[in-house]
Amino acid sequence: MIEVWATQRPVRLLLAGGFLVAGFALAILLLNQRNFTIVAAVFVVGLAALLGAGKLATP
Amino acid sequence: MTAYIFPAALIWGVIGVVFHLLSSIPLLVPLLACAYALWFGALEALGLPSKSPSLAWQVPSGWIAGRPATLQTLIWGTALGPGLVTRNPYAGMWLLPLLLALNFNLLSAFFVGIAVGIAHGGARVLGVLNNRKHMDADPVYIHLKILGAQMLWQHLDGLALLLAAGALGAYAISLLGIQF
Repeated sequence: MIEVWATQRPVRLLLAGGFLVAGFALAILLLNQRNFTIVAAVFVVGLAALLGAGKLATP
Repeated sequence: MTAYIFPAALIWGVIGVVFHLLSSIPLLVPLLACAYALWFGALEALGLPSKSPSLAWQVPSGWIAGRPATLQTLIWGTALGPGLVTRNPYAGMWLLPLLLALNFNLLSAFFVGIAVGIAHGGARVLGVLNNRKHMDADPVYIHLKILGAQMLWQHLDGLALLLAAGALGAYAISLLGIQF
């Protein structure tokens, strides 16, 4: 159900804008706490896992 | 599982070291990564027609045919585990090397690279093992199921790219000396 809801155009726009702003705000918070590089390293490992798991159709 | 994870960890560790060299040019990596993440993140998250940067290479059948099962697994694992040389439906893949260059320390770039390889290779092999459960199902059903899953993953990848684009934008601004 949530997949269908999330693929509607207005919801997509809202989610895209929300994630962009959230990334900006989160980075400001982390830069002020001097934790940006550590969290970026965790993010890159998480993104790698997401991409690996998502490759179901690539022979 | 080792056949997928070990080569991936090694290759990504080397990529971490190589891309670390870019960190000597302060604004280059954040700006490049931000532009890339913003463009492809918007395309994927909004479901607009796009083709992520990808190589069309596939493991040649001659490398596999007639080889022992262990060697076949090793060849598949080495080619697919790192996730760089085969068909890639997600733009996030090429953001990873740029993000590795954000590490200021050579050793940490190497170890984060290894962790990226383990994460990608490990997740990839779990996907492959999961697919084996459905080998007896109707091929058309499987194809449709994979396409549906790929669209969902592309949306998730697009949102992750936009999160990264926002963060990299703020990071680039902070490098210019502007405080919030």
